[in-house]
Amino acid sequence: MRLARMGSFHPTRLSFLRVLLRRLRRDNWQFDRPVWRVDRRGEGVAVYRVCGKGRTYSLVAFPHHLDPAKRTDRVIAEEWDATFVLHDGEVSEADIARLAANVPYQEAGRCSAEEIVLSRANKSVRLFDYVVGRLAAGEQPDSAELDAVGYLMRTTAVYANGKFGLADRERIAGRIEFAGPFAAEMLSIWLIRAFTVDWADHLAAARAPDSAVRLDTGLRRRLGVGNATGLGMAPFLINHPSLLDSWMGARETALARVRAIRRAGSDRVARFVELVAQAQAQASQWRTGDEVQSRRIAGLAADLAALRADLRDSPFDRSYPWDALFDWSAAHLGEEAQELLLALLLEPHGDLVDDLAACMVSDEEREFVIDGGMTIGALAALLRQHYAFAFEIDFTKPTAQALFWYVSEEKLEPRLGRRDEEPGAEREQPLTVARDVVALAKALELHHETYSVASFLAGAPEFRQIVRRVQIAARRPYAEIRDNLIDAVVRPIDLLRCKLSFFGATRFDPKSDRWVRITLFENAPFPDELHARPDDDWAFGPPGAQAT
Amino acid sequence: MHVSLNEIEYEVRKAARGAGLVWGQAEEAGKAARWLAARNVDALPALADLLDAHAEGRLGIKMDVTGSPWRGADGPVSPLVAGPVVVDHAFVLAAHGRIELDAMPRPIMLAPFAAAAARLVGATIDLVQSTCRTPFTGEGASRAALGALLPIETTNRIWCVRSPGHIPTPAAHSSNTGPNIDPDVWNRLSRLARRTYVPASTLSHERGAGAGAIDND
Repeated sequence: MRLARMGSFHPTRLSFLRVLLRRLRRDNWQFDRPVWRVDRRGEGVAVYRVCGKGRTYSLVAFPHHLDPAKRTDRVIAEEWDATFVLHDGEVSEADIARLAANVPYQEAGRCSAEEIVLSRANKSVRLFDYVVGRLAAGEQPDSAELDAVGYLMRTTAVYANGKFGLADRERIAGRIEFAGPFAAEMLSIWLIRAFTVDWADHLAAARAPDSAVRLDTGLRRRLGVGNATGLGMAPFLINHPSLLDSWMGARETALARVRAIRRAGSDRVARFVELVAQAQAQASQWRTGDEVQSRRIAGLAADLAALRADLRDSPFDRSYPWDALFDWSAAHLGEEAQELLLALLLEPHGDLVDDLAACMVSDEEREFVIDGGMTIGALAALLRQHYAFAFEIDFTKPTAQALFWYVSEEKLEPRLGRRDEEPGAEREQPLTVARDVVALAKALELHHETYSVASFLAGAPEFRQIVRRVQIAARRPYAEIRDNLIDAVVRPIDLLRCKLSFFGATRFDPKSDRWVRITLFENAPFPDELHARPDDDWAFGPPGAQAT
Repeated sequence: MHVSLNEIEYEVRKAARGAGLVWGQAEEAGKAARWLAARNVDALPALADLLDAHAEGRLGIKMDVTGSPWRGADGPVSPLVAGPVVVDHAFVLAAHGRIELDAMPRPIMLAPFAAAAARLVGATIDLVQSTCRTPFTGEGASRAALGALLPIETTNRIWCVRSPGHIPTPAAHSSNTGPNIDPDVWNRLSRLARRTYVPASTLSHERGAGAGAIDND
């Protein structure tokens, strides 16, 4: 549970978008597009409908004509190329009119409790116009150009969970289709992906009605939806320790199940070997301008070549072959490759691990209760047992508290400031876990070890939050990140990458140490082909792909 | 105005912190507000009164639990402070059956905590005042009982008592929409919540959020 490793995570078959698509396919959800009222400039409204389990959801898309000078990914943007909302049920014309008056304004508008997800997306300026131009000329775009970017549009925020008046989690939590974490958000993004292609097709036809063609279905699958994420997402893993533990626990359990396999079936082995080749090809497409990540990708490429060489030499007919491979990787490969290998080990074993997706939830309300009957002595022992990393930190060094997390008044979003240079540290957000642990340990020393935690907290309420955390961490091994989150060297993108890997994100592309681009649903089927395509085997690219 | 339960929870959390409660108490206040709103009990005006009192230093945040009744250690008792302390001491309720609390304003804000204590103890917990008795199970209390508790501005001594009594039908947890909120009350909360934000500066613009100079391609 260190940031460096969490920042090397790769998506697995337990990621949320994979889980969603498996469920939509298995439960025979149907998809159509009952509304497409988009003019020649590309403005208007579209509705993408999904139906299943007796329910209907409608993604309402509002494409706009955006002045390029106003296009920005930052939260302070006020206009976007397209805005979206996922509505619970069918949409009436009255709904569309109401949504048209609010959704394009995003945070400045209001949604009703019948809207579940609110989002917006901007064009990839590099790719979008190129694709429209080619299609208008009656030609397909070059696949290398598509692969260089990976998406036509990228979302810059995806809101749910009661924000801005949207439906609370309670409204949808009992529905099997939304049982998994972020399922509604993933569904929305998947439908947005379909929109991005439809919009490009539409604009090409508007430009050149006689010659335009539509994007080839094989080519379009290479495109995902991009996403630009900054610090807004960073505190999540810290603020949801029991949920984080559930996610990590599912992953680790899945890995343990595969490592426990005594004899590897030949079909699994064949699939695994094919996957390594596909992963190698995918890695060769992974582009970033970030130096640190570029070096890691280069290391990954070398490690994958070493892995393929090892696979040629090492027989799979020994006992516990997957375990042996995992151990070999820990000794011979860097973290990027180790984490990718974890994903590859799980991939051919869906029948063994997919059920763990149901464990990736947590009843955070139940977990929220403090055990006041615990003694000070027992609590102090928990601190020593579970927070050794905190006691190794020298807080007298200025670097140990160089940063502070805060919420900006301007856009109500999390930011990271330098304590010695910027104002606001007195309004610091409570993400100072290691420091709080040390302070708690000191305070506990003032009391007899049989004193109850309840009595202690009555007179020292400032420790309520950290005591709650410590008690959670004591029973949940993956709840706590074992790093100092206010240290000068903290890289918030490690938090982002970890969470995004659980979403299923690929093409991790850091733009700074606190802002990143990723792609979701790359290679996935589209709604109109979900049932026609073979099973859940698309994540690592088309079969037969070769590394360049 | 319509707000979601999530918005209520997070706005109240920030407002409580802005009013001077510690983060742990602020989180608990947010969840308490959510619990009541989910049962269609509009306790936000009462909560706003409490938070204004905290902000003005008229209520404390620490408790002295050495004697009986439990009293405030650094100021008069607040239900936002006493509630979590009672839940912490669920083992006392389990063993001895009662906890006595000093006088306090707005006892409605004890309701979510009484329910939590009832769940932990596995029994009905009654909130007993001189004028009324409100039974709680882990699911909550009846709509009528919560309705009777809501308008009480202050109470004298109040007891949390483990009771063998009947289990009332709890007010249903409404999962549909959040309650209708008075915008003036919401503004009072937002004013306090703003105290937790840091205003922008040029430096924060360059450094703080995320996207760098070129975020568009």
